[in-house]
Amino acid sequence: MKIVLRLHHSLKGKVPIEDGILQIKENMTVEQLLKQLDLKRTTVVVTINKKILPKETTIEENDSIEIYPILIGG
Amino acid sequence: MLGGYFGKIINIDLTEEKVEIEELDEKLLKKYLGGSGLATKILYDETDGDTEPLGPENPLIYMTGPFTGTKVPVSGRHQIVAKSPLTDIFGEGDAGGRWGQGLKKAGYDGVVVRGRASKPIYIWIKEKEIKILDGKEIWGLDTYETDRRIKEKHGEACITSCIGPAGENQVLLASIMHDGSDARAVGRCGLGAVMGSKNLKAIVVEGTVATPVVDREALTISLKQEVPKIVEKTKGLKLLGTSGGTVMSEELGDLPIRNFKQGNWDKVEGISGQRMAETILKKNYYCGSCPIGCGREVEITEGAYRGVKGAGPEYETIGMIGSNCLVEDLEAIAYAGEMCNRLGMDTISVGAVIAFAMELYEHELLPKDSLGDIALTWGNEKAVIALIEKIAHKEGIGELLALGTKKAAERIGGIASEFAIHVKGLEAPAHDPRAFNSLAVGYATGNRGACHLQGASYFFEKTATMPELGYTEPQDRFATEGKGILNYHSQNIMGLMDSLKLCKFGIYGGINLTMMLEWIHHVIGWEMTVEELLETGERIFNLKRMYNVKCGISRKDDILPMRLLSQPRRDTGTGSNLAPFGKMLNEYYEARGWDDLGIPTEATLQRLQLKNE
Ligand code: SF4
Repeated sequence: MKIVLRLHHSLKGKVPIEDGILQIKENMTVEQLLKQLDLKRTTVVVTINKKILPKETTIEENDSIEIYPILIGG
Repeated sequence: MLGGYFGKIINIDLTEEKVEIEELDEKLLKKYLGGSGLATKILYDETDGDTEPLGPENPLIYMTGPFTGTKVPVSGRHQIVAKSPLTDIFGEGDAGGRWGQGLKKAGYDGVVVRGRASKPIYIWIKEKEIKILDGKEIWGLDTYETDRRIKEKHGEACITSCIGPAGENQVLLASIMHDGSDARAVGRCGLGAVMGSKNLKAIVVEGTVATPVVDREALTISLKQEVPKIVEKTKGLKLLGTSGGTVMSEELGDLPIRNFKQGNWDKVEGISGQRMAETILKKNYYCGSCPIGCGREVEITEGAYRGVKGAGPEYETIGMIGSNCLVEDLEAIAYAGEMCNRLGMDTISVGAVIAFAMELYEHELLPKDSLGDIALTWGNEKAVIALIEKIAHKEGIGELLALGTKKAAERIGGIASEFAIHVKGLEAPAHDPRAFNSLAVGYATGNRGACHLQGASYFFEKTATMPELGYTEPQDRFATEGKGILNYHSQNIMGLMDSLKLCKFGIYGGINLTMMLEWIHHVIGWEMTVEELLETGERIFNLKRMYNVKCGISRKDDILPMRLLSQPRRDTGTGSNLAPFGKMLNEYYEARGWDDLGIPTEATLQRLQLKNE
């Protein structure tokens, strides 16, 4: 199934996939997608259709996924 | 015309009930910029080692910067400076929110409060109207309620800086709070107790005056270019707030766990910014002129902690009241954080002093009968909540803990100071020098004591860069060479940001020295070079050091607690790393131009035009 993926510019080049339309397996969770992209879950924040959802959330067809790096501070 | 400033501060003597407006000289502004720098100059001139921090002679200095009140991003901030009753040395804090902009809208750059009122009062500033008003009806109220009552009386447009019961009771961990339930805090150094010692409950500001900007058009063009980039770079901070880094911090070995003793903690996901976003987060909070919006607004509508509504816990609150005390319920942490905000206390020092007490309890070293029926076991959130109330009111064990870890340990005696994790009396915040080597020097030499923001050197060991200084890539956090020099630079830069009034998270957005110079030019009208700007930051840092030298500070005080210096964390991302402290400190002194005792040399003072200060 296809999803729309947008990567933060600092992640581009660090993951094996370009952002844009992406084909993924059905029933994939956020956690599994990050694994496939070789991204450490604790270093990024993922939004699905602009919402932050638990890592166990199953991604649906045509979902818009955005991934940003987490900043340490404060 | 000079932009950025009004060139005016309000001097208020509460003993004499006198209000005077003082004009500021451009030379002085150029030398110290505003905010932290200018306020330090006032403190330096008026007080010294003999000044009693809770006496009328200690001035409480509120100061904005030239960027406050303009559209420069992350500039809605102000500084508060006084001699700290917690550390008995230089004390300061910086807050976002809207109060600083409010003071500028009233037409002033700063307010200096001296003396002591004979009864509870508050100060009301609305452009030309400056009044000392009876504070009887708001004395005793918590900070959210104080804000509400003041708005009821004076209207929704006014902005309040106030203390809660902890400040009134002169608890040494007392904060000064702003913007009601948005709870923007000047938390560190116990400045709320200084305010309380003056019988000053609040300073309320209001006005419609625009801060002058020399070249508005050029500023608008610059901001159109830079702000979208800042927003894009800090998206992670906007989405998860400062607490977004909690889990990563635990992995890196940076998060304090069990009074900085434990290596890792499998409960960390439950108190993370991610969990907050999935549960109690309602929306973002933005300080004035901020396009980032890292603040959290939360609400708890059911369960034991229902009723929490307003500012959500920051990373520091989560680290200090959460993992450092092994409290694993995010809602309990949010509740405890709100209690601290309402009572007016620093969540960092409160978390630290409770973890300190828990470890003493574990070793059966707390004075008998001081706890009543509180079982002060690790992770006992009910005990944490009970202690917060007791500290604010100095009841039972709270009377001892209200002194902070250093003074409480001294009073207990024996080995109690083993568990007091502080530098110069200021409790260490929720970042660990064993995880970021540069923090070892930063904590040891921070002018207000152990502080992650006076140098924020760890920013440059993780994500941030500062190209003008050659830091084009994040630095290796475990390297040992260059950490003294990194602190020298980063402390100077943070001093600049505290004086111009820029939020340090702007650095993650790519704000650099070149941008600061450009905005100084557009807002104030000054042409400055990178070197001049850095020298100003260095001057400000050294003036604070000279103040501390007047208070008896030297190399003997530039040290870390033994736990952070000599005890590895293990079982976490730091491995068994310990910073080679002595070597790094010497590199730092050399970069600073300080002698072997840690005192600025004559040549350094001469170079920074501090010789005759
Ligand atoms: S980044 Fe956060 S703390 Fe800094 S000014 Fe913006 S909202 Fe306030």
